[in-house]
Amino acid sequence: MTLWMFGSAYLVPLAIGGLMLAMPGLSRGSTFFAVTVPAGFAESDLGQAIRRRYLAGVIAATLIALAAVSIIVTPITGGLAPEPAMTVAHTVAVLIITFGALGTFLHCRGRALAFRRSDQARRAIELLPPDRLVDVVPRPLGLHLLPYLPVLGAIAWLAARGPIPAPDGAPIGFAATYGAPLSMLGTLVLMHLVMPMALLIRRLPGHRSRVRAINRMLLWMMVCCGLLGGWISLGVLYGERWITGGPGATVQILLILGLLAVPLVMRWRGRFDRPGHPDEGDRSPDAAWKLGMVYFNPDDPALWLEKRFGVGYTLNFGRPMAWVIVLGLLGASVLMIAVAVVAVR
Amino acid sequence: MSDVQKAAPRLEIDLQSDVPVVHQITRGLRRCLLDGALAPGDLLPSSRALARDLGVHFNTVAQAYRELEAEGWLALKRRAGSVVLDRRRPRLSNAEQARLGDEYESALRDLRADYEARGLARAALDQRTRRVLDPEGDAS
Repeated sequence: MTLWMFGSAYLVPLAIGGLMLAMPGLSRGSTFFAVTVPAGFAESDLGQAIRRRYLAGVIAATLIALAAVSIIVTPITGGLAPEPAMTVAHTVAVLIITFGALGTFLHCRGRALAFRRSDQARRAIELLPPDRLVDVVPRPLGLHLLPYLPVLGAIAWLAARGPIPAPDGAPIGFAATYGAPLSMLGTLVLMHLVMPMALLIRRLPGHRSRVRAINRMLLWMMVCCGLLGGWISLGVLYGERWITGGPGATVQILLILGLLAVPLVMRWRGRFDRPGHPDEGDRSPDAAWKLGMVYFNPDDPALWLEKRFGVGYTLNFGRPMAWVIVLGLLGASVLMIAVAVVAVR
Repeated sequence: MSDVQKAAPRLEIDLQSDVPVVHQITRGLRRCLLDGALAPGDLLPSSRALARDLGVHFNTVAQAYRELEAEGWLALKRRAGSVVLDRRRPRLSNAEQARLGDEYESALRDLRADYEARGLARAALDQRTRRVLDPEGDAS
């Protein structure tokens, strides 16, 4: 394991911990830990105490994850081989922080639930004309090509270099040469398809600025993914050191950290600043949010809606179409894996 | 619609009210149409989108839209939303004017009696009535 990879074992949990710490700030201001509370509750002493409890829980989980990482990647105490140790360290760190943050979130939500509002019956909306796609995606529209350029560049470079010889001298196949960039292109297209969902979700106060910020975040994350995919795609040309060597690992670590840093930087620059007033709620009953994260309400006509904690969209699992979409996505994923396996054989 | 920023008209409903939601939507929209907050040529959200935004059943909004279409306020389009029409006030004969006037007066008396019976003080009733008749005067 190189010094670079050793460092990344610590950097990744720190970045994920930072992301979890920022979650309440990324959330829409009309709810508090996925609960509709009275106006002013979040700023009250009790609200601040709940928020501090969340921060303490996430920091504790991050410290435990870092301790676990140090045990796994330090050769003196660990019996694991260096390369797998890196993967194990990342997996363990992510699991510890995710479950730690989830447990703390549920605890905080439980405390906030005692103060939930009962007057969710009054609903006031602005009669806005229908949104168009250009209203909800980042502009200028040329920016949307940016994530694809590194991958397309890598494909062009691979094509220009002609057939790539394997160690035995025979040229390697199409799937081995272009598999990585093509699958990255597919991933980028799928990520891009998330953007028009802003047209389908329930419009709450500050809708356009909020969804534009979410889509801008997605676009910059796609740029990081595109750069990462372009870099990895060239590994087939320049050998394993391109991926696992010091400079290669550094580039990848920086891009992964950049990916995680995008929402944090946008939060820091105030891009998600609390559209919506607590009095307005989000026109969904608290009881329909199972564990504060899964929305199940057959009486609600909305299929897609904004998450209550964090940033992004979720499905209303009370509607049959939600299950069709989930099963369709699962089926498509299985099909893609099956096609890839058959192609490699 | 022009790009000049104007305050978007608001629609409010109360799910716990005795008045059915469909009537609340119809009345709320009609009020916006009458006071000019919604002008001819303005686009309204599709009934599906408005139902999603309000969190009420699609048929409820569709029924409200159909009522306003029947009154000549709206032209309904399936996906593009609904357009506000330049509606002319219906021409009524003198007898029809008098009948409608009587109907209005009677409804107003019933409404006052209803709310007085429910405990609202007469002074408060008068104040609210003045606010409806002259909103700008009340604000100043």
